[in-house]
Amino acid sequence: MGVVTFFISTVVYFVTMHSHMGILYYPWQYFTSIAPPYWETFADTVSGNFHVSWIMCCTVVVWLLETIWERFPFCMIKNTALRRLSAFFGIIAIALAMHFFFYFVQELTYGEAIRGTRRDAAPDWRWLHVGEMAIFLLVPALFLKFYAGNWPTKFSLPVNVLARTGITIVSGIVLYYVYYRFGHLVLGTQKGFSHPQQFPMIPTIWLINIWLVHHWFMDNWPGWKMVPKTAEEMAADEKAHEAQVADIKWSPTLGFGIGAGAVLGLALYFITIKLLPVFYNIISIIPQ
Amino acid sequence: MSDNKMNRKDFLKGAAIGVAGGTVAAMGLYSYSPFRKSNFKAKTRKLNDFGVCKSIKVTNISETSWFDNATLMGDIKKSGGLLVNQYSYNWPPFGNGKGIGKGTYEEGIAKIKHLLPNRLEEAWDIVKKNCVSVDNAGGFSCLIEIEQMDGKKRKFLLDSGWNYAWIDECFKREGIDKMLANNEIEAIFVSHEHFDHYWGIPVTFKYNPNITVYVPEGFYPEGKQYMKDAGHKGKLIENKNGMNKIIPGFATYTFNVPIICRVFGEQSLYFNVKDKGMVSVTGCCHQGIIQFADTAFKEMKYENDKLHGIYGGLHISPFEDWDPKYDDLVISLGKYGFEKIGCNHCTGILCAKKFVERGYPVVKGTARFRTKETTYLGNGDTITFGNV
Repeated sequence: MGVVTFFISTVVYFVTMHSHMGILYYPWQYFTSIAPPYWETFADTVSGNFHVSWIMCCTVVVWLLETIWERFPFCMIKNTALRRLSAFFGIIAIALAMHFFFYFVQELTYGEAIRGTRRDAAPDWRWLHVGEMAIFLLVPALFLKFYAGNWPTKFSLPVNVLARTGITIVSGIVLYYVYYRFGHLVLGTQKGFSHPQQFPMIPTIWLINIWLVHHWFMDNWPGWKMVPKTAEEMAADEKAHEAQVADIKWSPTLGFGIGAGAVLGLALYFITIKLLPVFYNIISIIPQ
Repeated sequence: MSDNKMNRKDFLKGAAIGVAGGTVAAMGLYSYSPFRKSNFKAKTRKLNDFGVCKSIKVTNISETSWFDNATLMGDIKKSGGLLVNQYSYNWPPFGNGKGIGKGTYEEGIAKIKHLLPNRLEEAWDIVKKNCVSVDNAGGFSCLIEIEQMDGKKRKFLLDSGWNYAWIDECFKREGIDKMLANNEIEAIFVSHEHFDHYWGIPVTFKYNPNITVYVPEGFYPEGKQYMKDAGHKGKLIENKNGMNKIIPGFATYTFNVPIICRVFGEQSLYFNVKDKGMVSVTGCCHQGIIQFADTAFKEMKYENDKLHGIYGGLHISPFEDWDPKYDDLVISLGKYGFEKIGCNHCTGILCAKKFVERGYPVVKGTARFRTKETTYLGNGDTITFGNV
């Protein structure tokens, strides 16, 4: 398994980052790495940050799927091979949607990117910031899972998942505000969004690592009493989850709900992008 | 009742799935599509008219701000990095003899103030004893000759370098010393407060202490005090952020940009050349050449609506390092259609080579007076824009 992972990682590196690195070693590596890279026109940059960002989004989606989404919707697929394949490509598809949306959000805030500039107007920084924005979602999602019992749990699985996602988005936005408003005072970095000293992935991933250690190896002690679940309790949990999945059955009402929900989702998206510039004009995260 | 409850529950389940699916689909399909551009504001142009001139000629007095990158970067690292106050480096002329990173403006200037601006050789001897890496200092300076539409020529300096001995030598080589003494040069524009552009200002005052000086908004107290301590007796004008008209066809633009070594603000020069278009002359262009060009497009009115030429440091690879985003700049600069590029100084030799490789009209130099390569305009070289 390790060999396969190494092999695939190497292929992924060559596809996503080799041209980025090769461009640094002019002139010979420039040619051997096939630079400028194939993504240049599409991403508006030769920088590998374009790939860093969607891969970061994939990482976040993997964790969302594993925690607050309880592997929904892929857990509904009974065939194991099909479920795994769907999850793999589905995660990438959701991550790409997130990737493009976070880039668009920045265009609505800062205006269109100007290739060849530096900092917040540059496409390469904006792609990197996409990954940084995604990480802000991971923190509240893991908190919900580790310390809030994956609340809420009383509704059907899709409703629970949607509610948790909503909580995560709102909390992620609040965390983003708090980080950029106050983070530099604690971390001793320069204030600002695009300053080279600003790299929110470091403190957020650092926090997540501590939570992982606390949750996995310390069973949330001392906030929680360390009482391991019995085999029966674990089996009951699994059964309850299976029952929740089985509860989602096709019916005309479900179909009608999906249709109405999709229209609502589209409306939500377009209302959001219309409102975002208004909010940006009202809220100043870093006072001048 | 039970059926209704079941239906409502199914509907909600479906709606939750639909909301998530619809939103994600819209995010994926619309957010990076060409349709999203309808949400962006159209660029508005102010088209400020600042007149027109017939031609300009730039003489490169010195573009070699320092002679060895490794020495400069080593000093910066030892002093605490690129964000440290430049007056604390113990670089010339502000040395107190305490070693790298332990200097202050007050202690440094106290040792030489009584010799400024006329006894610079003596001052430099003291500097050599108290400062680090004295021989590595060079400086950036250029002479700009503007031919007005009526044929009258006017001269201005941009920056006054760093090393007193080096800049004095360069001034003499290009005859700047006599031009200053004869009041042929009307004013000096200091692009920004950086050591290699500003700290050699006593050399200018040695030949003309009454010259008018234009500085950009954002100088720190040490920089303002140095102007007085260096022996300036003329008019001092602080160009506020934004556009400042100087004479017909010549304006400066101050960018409120934070710069390494604790410097703030840089002014660049714009010239509207008859039948050619906009010509930009920069010190370091810390705001970035694309922003520089974009500002011209948004703020100013110029001949043929054409960006014609550039001279000066473009601040792309001053330490000859490289990053993929510099390639973004190299690639995108072509879109702006400059017809004459006279780059040097902090542009970086590698960058100039990449410009040439892409077929950009880079004007070559002669590699004299300690300029290392002919790839770009070196010390003593000249470039003209317009019909001379």
